[in-house]
Amino acid sequence: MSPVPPAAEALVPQDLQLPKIDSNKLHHIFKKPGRDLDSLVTDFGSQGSAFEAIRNATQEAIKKQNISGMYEIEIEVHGHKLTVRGTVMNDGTIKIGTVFP
Amino acid sequence: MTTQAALENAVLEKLLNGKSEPFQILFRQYQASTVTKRQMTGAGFFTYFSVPSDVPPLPRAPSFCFGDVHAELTGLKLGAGFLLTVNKGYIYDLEAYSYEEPWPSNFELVRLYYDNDESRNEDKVIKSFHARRPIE
Repeated sequence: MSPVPPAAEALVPQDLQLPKIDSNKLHHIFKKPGRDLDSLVTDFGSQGSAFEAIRNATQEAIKKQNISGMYEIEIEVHGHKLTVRGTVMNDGTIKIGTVFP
Repeated sequence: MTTQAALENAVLEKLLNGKSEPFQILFRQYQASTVTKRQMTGAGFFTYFSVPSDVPPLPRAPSFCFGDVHAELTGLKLGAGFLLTVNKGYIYDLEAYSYEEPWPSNFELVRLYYDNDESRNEDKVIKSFHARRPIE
């Protein structure tokens, strides 16, 4: 068996995955009693997928509204109206603090 | 080191520091309240309160959340935010959250500040109250 070329070796599947979502953040947002985000998780199949959908919708809204620094923004994901609080980093990356309906 | 209780007290005193009736009533509730539960999530915490029933609720017993106070804490490069939930006219819980950083086990509170740094428009804050479904 021929050795794997360095370039191919560098592209192992884990490098192609999306950034890992902090399980504590998922727990914080989705496990709070009374927050009523269960149906959103059901719609997306997992907390991680629901969180990614929230992040994408937030990113889009922030770009559209040209927001920088701390933000509180209303988004709609799969028919769920949500408020997201977070901060926009200098490089444009968004960080999510909390989410509530 | 700042304890979690000290952080909670400092945040609530800043959040509820206002001349308007809602802040006055909620501050009196806070003074009479006891902590019933603290839940650490790794990305922040939730602290739950109980207020004696002889302390008046807000008129018409609304349910909402708000939070225009932020913190600089050692151990959190991006700081922290807070959200107070009021349920049926009574303070219910205080949420503290980081911006996708692990909540530090030991920290020092550097400072608390409002959305617009030190100034605060109470009417604007009251208008920012997010109505919530009552928690049973």
